[in-house]
Formats: sequence, structure tokens, C-alpha cells
Amino acid sequence: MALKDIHQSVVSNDNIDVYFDVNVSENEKEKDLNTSKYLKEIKENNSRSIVIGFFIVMLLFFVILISFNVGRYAVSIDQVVKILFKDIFHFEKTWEDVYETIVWNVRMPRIIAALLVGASLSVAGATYQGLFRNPMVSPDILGASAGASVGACLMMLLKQNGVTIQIAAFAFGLLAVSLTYSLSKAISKSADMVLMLVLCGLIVSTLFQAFVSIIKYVADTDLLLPEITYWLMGSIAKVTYKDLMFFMIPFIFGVVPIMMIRWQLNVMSFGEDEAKAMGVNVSLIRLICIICSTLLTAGVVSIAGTVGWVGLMIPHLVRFMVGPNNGKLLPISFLTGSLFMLIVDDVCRSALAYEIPLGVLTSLIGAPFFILILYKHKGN
Amino acid sequence: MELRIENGICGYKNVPIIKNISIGFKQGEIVGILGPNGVGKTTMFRSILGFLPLIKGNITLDNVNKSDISVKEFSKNVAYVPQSNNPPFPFAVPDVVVMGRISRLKRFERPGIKDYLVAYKALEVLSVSYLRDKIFTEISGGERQMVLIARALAQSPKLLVMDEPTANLDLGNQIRVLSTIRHLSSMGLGVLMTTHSPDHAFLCCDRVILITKNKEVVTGTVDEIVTEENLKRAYNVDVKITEIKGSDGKAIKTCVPLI
Repeated sequence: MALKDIHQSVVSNDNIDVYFDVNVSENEKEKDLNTSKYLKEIKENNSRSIVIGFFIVMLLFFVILISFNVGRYAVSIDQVVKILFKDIFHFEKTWEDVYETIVWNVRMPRIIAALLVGASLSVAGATYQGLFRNPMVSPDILGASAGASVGACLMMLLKQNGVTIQIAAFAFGLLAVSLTYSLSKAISKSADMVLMLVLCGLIVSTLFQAFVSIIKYVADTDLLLPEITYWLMGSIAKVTYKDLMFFMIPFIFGVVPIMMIRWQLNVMSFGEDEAKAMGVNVSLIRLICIICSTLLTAGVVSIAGTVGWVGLMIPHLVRFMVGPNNGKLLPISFLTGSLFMLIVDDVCRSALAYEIPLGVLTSLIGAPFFILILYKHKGN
Repeated sequence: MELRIENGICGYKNVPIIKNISIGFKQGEIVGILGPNGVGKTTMFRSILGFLPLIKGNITLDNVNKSDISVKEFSKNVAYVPQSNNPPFPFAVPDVVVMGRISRLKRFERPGIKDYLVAYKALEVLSVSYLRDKIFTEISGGERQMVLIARALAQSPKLLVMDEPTANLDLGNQIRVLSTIRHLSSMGLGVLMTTHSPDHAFLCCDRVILITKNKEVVTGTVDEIVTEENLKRAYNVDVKITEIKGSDGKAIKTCVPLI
């Protein structure tokens, strides 16, 4: 019986090659036919997400090029290309110095910031959604944003400079999440601490938001309050290369480990008991996910302020395209998040005569997007 | 290969729920756990799988203490089939089955084409190949149960631990799952399963572990354990056990409650 040898390969052996060597079945040809059919299907499934990824990368390059063009100073696309690649291709200089400054010192850092912020928030959001088994979870679920806001506002109140604000925002973001983590660890004690994490995250966020309100309340209403309010709305208009260098640290230490364990995150979606039974080191994966997502979220808030909805919205959108398998979901979310944030920031700086705060626009897009999602989900 | 729990006391946070457990099962046999709600079946079950630490006692796999075996190593030998549940995300069926390969992969390795092939084969063994292009959250409860069994098979285990494999299934699916379990055992897998139906024990189990309402644990062959007196002791209801002839002339026992 064909069952027997398939069983040998599946059940009693590490090595599935045995399956191909076992030479028992009378309907061997049919089996080989099945195998090659399966192989074809597996390869087709893989190539679809590669095509989607490739398409998004192409689109991303296109939008990056456009983004140099968008803004108060119109720099034409061919000028942009020539300025960007002048050292490589030795283009003759036919532009004024001011354009070079705009491309390299004004728009370039801003574009890079948009790409990194969008990617970070999307990856952190997708990770938390997988870990907490809830598609409605956003990167600030454990209090990273609220904590970072307190740090930043406190430093603004104490009239500190930009770097100090960033470091404080980052540190307070980590502080808030460690508070959430140790609280839920102390309370839950039992195996599954996911629900407790979410609840403690809610408590810690509320607490830190109250601190923000206190700071706003005591802040000087002429100078400081507008500054704090504007900062909280989120913006990457004034991002410098120095800010980006600072951000690269949490970005790399956040994204790389998550990408390495992203497939094991799938298993976590079935609950911690099942994951453990399949051989996953549950507490390690959980800790890596929380630390890395917190690095990303706190890092983003420290250079861009609070930018909402992106981390919730992009993984949703990508799940429609490539499904929930984190092997594909996370890389495609990374790319799509960058693309989305870049487009939003382009609109921010070109739609009106003055800058629209980034966080305001993402919320404006996010709310109707979610109504659409809920409307679609109503069916099942 | 044999998984045993010796002189175990199971419970939560040092509050014992069920005591003096000495049970085990090995490759090739099907062992059913019967018992009323609330006597600690689930607690015992979770302890055997290592989700819950034992308050006292040992769990051994081929006489090696479980605490000396890593989670990953243990899962290469013992697979868990949970009650069919719904994950929050609409995973494709092959993506669910291939998760069973995790204990066979290196730390940061992702499943390759070979692992997916094993997943497809596992579905084929269970005669549910047609599910391979379906979405896990959109198939029926019986089909989900089959996919979860396939996931356990992809783990290439020697022992299977199944939590009420027939729960919430219609009659046809219950029987299909039971005959699948018998198939797997005839191929050399050991199965430990909880069930609420004495009939399922008759149909499918070699041995039975019965926990009575007073938390006594009695073990033995199906015919020894699943008797009118024992079921009365366990569930406090009157039942009649009778025999009927199957179509091949073999006697099949069945349990009829008397109301």
C-alpha cells in the first residue's frame, strides 16, 4: 500500500529522501506524477510573492525619483538624476548650487527618513499582530509611543536641544515597554502572558499619556506648547543626516533579528502551547519580537514624533496581497510601508502652501481605510 | 519509544489537581483517556506535554528524563494535535502543515521546497490532498482536524498526543478521524488521546486510562476498563454495554446510556 512508504518518509525519518528511494508501490508512476505536480505548485506559490516584491521595488524607485522633484523648489527629474549620479557618470554641471543643496541636504535625508520610518512601523506592526494573534494591534500597543512622547516633551520642557530630546524619547520608550513587560510578567506568571501584555500596555500607555498632558498643562503657552503639540503630530520635515545616523542603530538591531525569526512568528499565531509543542523556544521568540519592535517604534518616535496608523494599516494591506505567512508578509510590509510613507510625505509637503503634519495625514488616511476593512470583514 | 509519567502530581502553582499519576504509552498502541469534566484530564494532559510543570514526579521519554531533553528534541519525537481551533489569520493549508517542520530546521532556517513537499505528502497520507490550495480558516471543522493531524505528521514524530480529536465533529468526520488514527497506529505511531465517548474507545483504543469522579486512575485494556461498573464510578450514570455483530461478523462493543 502506498500509505506505508509515505508514512516511512513522513513519520519515521528525518530525511525525506528516503521517500524517493523506497521502492515498494505498484502505482509508482502516479506517485511521481503527484510529486512533480506538488513541486510545480510549491514553486508557483513562491514565485508569486517574488513578482509582487519586485513590482513594489520598481514602484519604490520610481516614487523616490519623483520625491526629489516634489516641493516648493521644482527640480526637474533629469536634473535630479544628473545631480545624484554626477560623481559616477561625470555629468557636466548645468545647474545652480542651490539645487544641489536641495537634492542632497533637504530632500535626500527626508526621503531616507520616510523610507525608514515607514518600513520600521510596518515591520513592528506586523510583528506585534503576529505575536499578539490580533490583526488590530498597532506598534504602540505596549506603550512605546506614549513613553517616547513623555521623554521628548520632558526634554522640551527643560529646554534641551535636539539630540537630548531624541535620546530621552528613545530611552522613555524603552522604559515604558519594560514597565509593561515586567508588570505583566509579575501578574500573569502562568504560561500564556499575551493577554496580560496587551492589558498592561493599555495601562502604561494611559499613564504616560497623562504625563504628557501634565507637561502640556504646565508648559509656556506662547512658545513651548505649540512646539510640543507640533512635535506630537509627527513630522520628518527637519530630519538631518545626524538624526538618521542615530536612527540607524535601532533600525538595524530592530529589523535584522525580526527578519531572521519571521517564519517562527507564524507558529506563534496558533498560541504558545502549540508553538512549544512544535519545538519553538516561545519565550525567546516573544522576547526578541518585543525588544526589536520596541527599538523600531521608540526609534521612529524619537526622530519623527508620533505617526499613527501606519503600523496597523500596512500589514493589513499586505495580507490582502500575499497572505498572512510572515515569511512573505514581513519583507513585503517592509517595502510597502516605505512606499506608503514616502507618498504620504510627498503629499504633506506639496498639497498645501504649508506643511501638513505627517501624523495628521496618516490618521486622515487610516480612519477611512479601516472603515473599509471593517465593511469587508462584515461578510465573514 | 515510550512516553511515561511516573508518580506525577499535576496542578497549577503548587495546588495539586490530580495526584499519583503513573501512566504511559508507546509506539504502535492507541491509548484513550476517559473521564468526566473537571477531574483534571486537561491538567494531566498539559503536564504530559510539558506546558505545565509537574508539581512532583517525572516525565520520561525512553527512560530519559524530560528535563534533560530540549523542547526541540522532544518535539521531534512527540507531536501534539490540539482541538481544531481558529487562528486569527487566514493561513494557507500548506503553510499550516509545514509549521510541523520547525523542529527539523536549523535555528534561523525557513522551510524550503523539501519541507513543503513533506507537508503535501502528509496531506496525501490522510487523503486530504484536495485541501492543499484551501485557506485553513475557511475549511470545515473535520478538515481542519485533518490538517492539524497532517501538521503533526510533518513533525515526523513517533508519538502523537491528541486532545479530543473528535470534538465538535459530525458523525462522518468523527469516524474518518478515528479510522485515520487507527491507520497511523498500524504504521507504528503511538497515540494518546482524550475522548468523551466510550464507543470511540471501543472502536479505536487498545488501552484506556479512566479517571473516576473521585480522581482514581484505573488503566488496562479497553475490555477490562470500559465496563458498566467503571463508567458508573466515573460518570455516575447508568449505562449498558452490549455487543453487536459488524458486517464482517466481528463483535463490536457499544455503550448505551439508560435514561
